[in-house]
Amino acid sequence: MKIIEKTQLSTNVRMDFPILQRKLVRNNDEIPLIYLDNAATTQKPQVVINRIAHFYTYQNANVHRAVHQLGEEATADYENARRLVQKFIGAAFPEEIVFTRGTTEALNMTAHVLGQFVKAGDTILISAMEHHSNLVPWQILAEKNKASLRFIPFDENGELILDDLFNNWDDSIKILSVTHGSNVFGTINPITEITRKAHEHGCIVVVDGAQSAPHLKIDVQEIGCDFYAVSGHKMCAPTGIGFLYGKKEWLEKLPPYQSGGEMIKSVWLESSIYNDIPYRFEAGTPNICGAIALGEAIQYLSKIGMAKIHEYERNLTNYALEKMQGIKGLKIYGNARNRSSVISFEMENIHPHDIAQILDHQGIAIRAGHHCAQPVMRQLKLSSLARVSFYFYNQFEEIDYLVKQLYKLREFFN
Amino acid sequence: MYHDLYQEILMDHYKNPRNKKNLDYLSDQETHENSLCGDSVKIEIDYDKKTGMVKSVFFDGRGCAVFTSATSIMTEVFENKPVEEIRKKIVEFISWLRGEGNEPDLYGFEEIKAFEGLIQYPVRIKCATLSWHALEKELGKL
Repeated sequence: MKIIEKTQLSTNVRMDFPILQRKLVRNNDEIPLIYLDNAATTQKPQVVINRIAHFYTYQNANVHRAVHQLGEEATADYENARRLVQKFIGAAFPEEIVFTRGTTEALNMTAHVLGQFVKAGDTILISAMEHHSNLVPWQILAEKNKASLRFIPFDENGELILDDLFNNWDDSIKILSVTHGSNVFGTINPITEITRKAHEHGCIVVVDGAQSAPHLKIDVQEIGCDFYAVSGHKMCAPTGIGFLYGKKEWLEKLPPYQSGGEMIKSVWLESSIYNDIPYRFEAGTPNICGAIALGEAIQYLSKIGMAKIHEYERNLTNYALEKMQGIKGLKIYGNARNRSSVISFEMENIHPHDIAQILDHQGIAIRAGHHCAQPVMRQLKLSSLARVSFYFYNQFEEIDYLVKQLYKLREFFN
Repeated sequence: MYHDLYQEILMDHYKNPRNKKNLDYLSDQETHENSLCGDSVKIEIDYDKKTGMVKSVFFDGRGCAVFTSATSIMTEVFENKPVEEIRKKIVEFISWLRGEGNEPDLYGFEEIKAFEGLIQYPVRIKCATLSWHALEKELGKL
């Protein structure tokens, strides 16, 4: 048996999250909240909550048009947030960052604006482990342009099977869109290698970073991908804000996604000249406060350090894997060599919904369902799975409590 | 002990579901699905056209404890009951769980009290009512 050291990230981080101090009432007793649904969304630290309140209390104004002081402040802070994102993911230029509602909008935007590069008979390649948000937009594009959609398969460990793809490359593949981190198996895909090989064939590479950017140090220049999509709410920022990274040379030649204000330079009744990047892709008043709060979240995460977060979460995950594997009748789906803090599992004779409901009764929040990845479930011949997912504020003691409750659950049902 | 929902009665029906049998012969079009979780159920009705009576109800499907026990209990409740009465009882059961009506009288079947705790979990009501909706639809085809 491996001995996993119960390392400490920083004793203070939990105090930064007011919701983690919340007590739940069960049978007239107060019990602690154990939040293990971080792949769905993460909790927000006080500094982010304060930043939102500060913006609406003292700073609220529209961006990029007002000459008054409030407008200039809001614009400066909004653009500063863009630079914080740029640095956070290692982009070369701030204008390579387009603020969106989240990963879903970023991927929809990408599939839409790349439409002109996909002709009838071309192939769009994604993987068989994608979240619906990196599947359905490509289905729509393929159907519209009479292209076909192909899938990179995954093996029993939840790792992509890539050899055959690159050894027998099909030149009809014009776009490859793949997730960096699986929201079901926790697999971290070898995205740098995938990008390099796809680029050898002149293929456009799009990456879904929703499950990776919150947990790993991301460097889009090192990865080399053309587009990288991220959600803020999975990394301590509010819901409704995220971003699309797009290489400057790509964004510059792409058409707008939505149209209206902000995305134009000048408008006549008959025609318009589109604005420069990134504004061409940010039609309408953006989520100003959300972007500023995302900037605050990034500063908070950077202060702790993404490398430290990754290392701590890896210990936490290995510890949980080892403890959970010891439970008879519990099966873990996903055994990738390189993985994130997502663990999907099932228990013999216990439906995932019953696991989630009964754990909730003990104050433990987990996810049960198809995880917006129904094709993955079908391949596994399952209708749903239970999933725990950790963030850097989770503790080893919480895993001990989870495991104790899973043992009790097994006893109750068998 | 665990929550009301998982009292002995439900666990008994979960572990030993009544009137459950293989219904593979029914097509996908005759499968009723809970899109939320992917659980599905097939229903077979043994119906006497002359008398308008449902002699028995059978089901096939795998799901959570709430789904399985609600389905198992349903098949017991409606054994040898007139179709028109069953339709009424289904509507009453569903509106009760939605918090829109009183607890229905299901021929004195006390087991249904176990579902009372469900009213506070709107997401799980779909688990309990999946088969009841399915039976309603299948009765419409008779």
